[in-house]
Amino acid sequence: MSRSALAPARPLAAAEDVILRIENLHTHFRVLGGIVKAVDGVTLTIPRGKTVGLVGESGCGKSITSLSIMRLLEKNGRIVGGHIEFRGKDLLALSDAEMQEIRGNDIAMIFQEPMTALNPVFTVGNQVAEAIQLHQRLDRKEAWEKAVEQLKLVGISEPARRAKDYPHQLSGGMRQRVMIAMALSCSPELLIADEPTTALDVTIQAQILELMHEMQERTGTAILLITHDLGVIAEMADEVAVMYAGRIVEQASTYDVYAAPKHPYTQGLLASIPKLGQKQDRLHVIKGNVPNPLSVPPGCSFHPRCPHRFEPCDKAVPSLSEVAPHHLAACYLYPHVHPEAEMEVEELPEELAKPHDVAVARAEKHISAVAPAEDAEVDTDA
Amino acid sequence: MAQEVVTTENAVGQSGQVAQAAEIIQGYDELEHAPELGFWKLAGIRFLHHRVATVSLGVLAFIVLAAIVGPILEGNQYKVLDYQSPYHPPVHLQLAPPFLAGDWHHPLGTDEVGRDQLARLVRGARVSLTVGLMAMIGYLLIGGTFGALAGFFGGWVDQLLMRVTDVIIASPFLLVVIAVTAAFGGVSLFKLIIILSILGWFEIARLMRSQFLSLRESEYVMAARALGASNFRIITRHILPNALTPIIVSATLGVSGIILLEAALGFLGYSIPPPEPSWGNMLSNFEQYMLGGYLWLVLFPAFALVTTALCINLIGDGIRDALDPRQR
Repeated sequence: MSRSALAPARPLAAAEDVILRIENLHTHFRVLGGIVKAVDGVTLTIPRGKTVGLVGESGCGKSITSLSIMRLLEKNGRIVGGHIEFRGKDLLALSDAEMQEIRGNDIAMIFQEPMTALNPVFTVGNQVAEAIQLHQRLDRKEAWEKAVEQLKLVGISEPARRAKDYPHQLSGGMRQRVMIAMALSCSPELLIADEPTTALDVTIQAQILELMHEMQERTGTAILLITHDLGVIAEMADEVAVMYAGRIVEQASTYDVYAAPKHPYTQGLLASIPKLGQKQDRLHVIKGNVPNPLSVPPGCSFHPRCPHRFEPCDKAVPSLSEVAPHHLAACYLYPHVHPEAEMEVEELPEELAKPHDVAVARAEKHISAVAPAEDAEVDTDA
Repeated sequence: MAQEVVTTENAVGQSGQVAQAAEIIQGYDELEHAPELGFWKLAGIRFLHHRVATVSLGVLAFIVLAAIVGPILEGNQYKVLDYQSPYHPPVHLQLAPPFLAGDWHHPLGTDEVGRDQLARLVRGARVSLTVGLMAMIGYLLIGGTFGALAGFFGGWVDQLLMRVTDVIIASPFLLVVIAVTAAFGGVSLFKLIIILSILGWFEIARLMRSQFLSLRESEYVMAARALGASNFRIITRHILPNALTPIIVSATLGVSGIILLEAALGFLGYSIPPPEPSWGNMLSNFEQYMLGGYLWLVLFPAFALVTTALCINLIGDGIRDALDPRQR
């Protein structure tokens, strides 16, 4: 079966309105015990000017997906298959210098920890100015003025004075505002926000989300919002992609996903959110554990925990297909979902397959079999 | 603002509580207008609060001043042989009148060929301080670059550079310096600095590497990458300033080590050749001086050497406390 025969219709966006298209992305990491397939066939599109929420548990590959887009993986990680198309250009085919030109200028990123993502030895104005100077031909003074202006845009009061402050003199929320100012200083077309509000308290969270919304309306930037917080997604995202163990299991408009989740994993996630005014003795949990990244179960990786699993689930990986209008899911419960075509993946270098690694993998399996399973834990801070 | 609050409350006839509250408000007001100090200004203030280090800095400043001004005043006195008065004792106290004995022409006395000790001492200070400072700059350039590259890139670059470092660490430093010096057939000040720089940079390199290893993983480096900064920019602008604190301390302490090393070389006769004085080669005839009872010829250069090294070490301690108050 060829890939094109399976290619599903994209929800919401026509081809020319797509800013980023990820197709069957595979990112693998070499670790002591073997190979971790952190991203194992992610297919995702981000429409121009829209916000796409990428949601999933810790370790499901959300952040690795974003780092793959930026091509900022650690040394032991490698993109071994798939395409990342940005404005119709394949990012994976670009040279390092070309990629450097795109980072910050066309695709920018904000990080989870505003405490540590700013350089402690420079004033914040200096850092915003640097971000500007990296991609724009401005002298020091002009860049500084623009930086102050940018700080004003992100709602920092007395920006001219605050610009002379060092990061430690600002609160967490202020620092995240500075990060946003830096990221948006070159008006990128795509902003990747990797858990931008996780480290902030709830009131500040709301402010930062509001700010991101406002900035998006002003600049028309598309946002890939990575989070494990379903509440944040509901507030911010136009579209949601749900990720589990390295794959996208469901993607649709936010409303559709919350109103009628199709994939059992999404259904489980939404059911675990406690509801206001409803008496409940125990919270709903998804049974079982997230699979060990070194030994992901065959077939649909969710099948050992799935309440609806049946025959084909452990045989082949279901493809992400349109199961309702503009609603994609990867689950055999829906008759027109087919097994995914085997993807030819470039293997990692031979030093990975040393007998030592195999032994370690075996030992780890043994340990995990002996150790008692912990309770399932799903982040659902709505 | 706060002032107004106080006055209005006073007019009404306030209770103690109100006054207290006004005081607090005023306190906030003062905080608001307190000057905002940068990292280096704060460190400077902390250093000046470190009494021992400040005194040491003063003493060292005096020595440096003497090294700069002294030789200008003394001219070529350091090599003028005064055969009339060899082993002239320094100005000293005695019990019988006149209580201050000695020749004010040679306040610190003369050596075996009648050269003025004071002139030699201040000129020797030049050599010691120059070698100490310049060799440390050499250490920083070579070791700093090697360490930064090894730590930042890791992999085979790290392997290669660190194995070179291991070889240099494993070699007997003093012996190699002596051998190289001998091979050069005597050394000039410049050559000495080069030799020391080439052989002594490893400690700085290791320190720099460890700093870069940890800092390259920091989030702000990742953030800088995400903004499209180049490797060069990340190394020089983002990591280096953050790595500098321990390097500054280590470099300061290292200067005194180099000064002592130069003295040892001079003592053994492998530093600057005479008649150019250095504190080390002024001591090289110590047996003769001690046996002949000309103690001052040993005492003054030794005292200068120890004082300088001590001052630098104490300043180094002060800098460390100033830059990282937690480490005390």
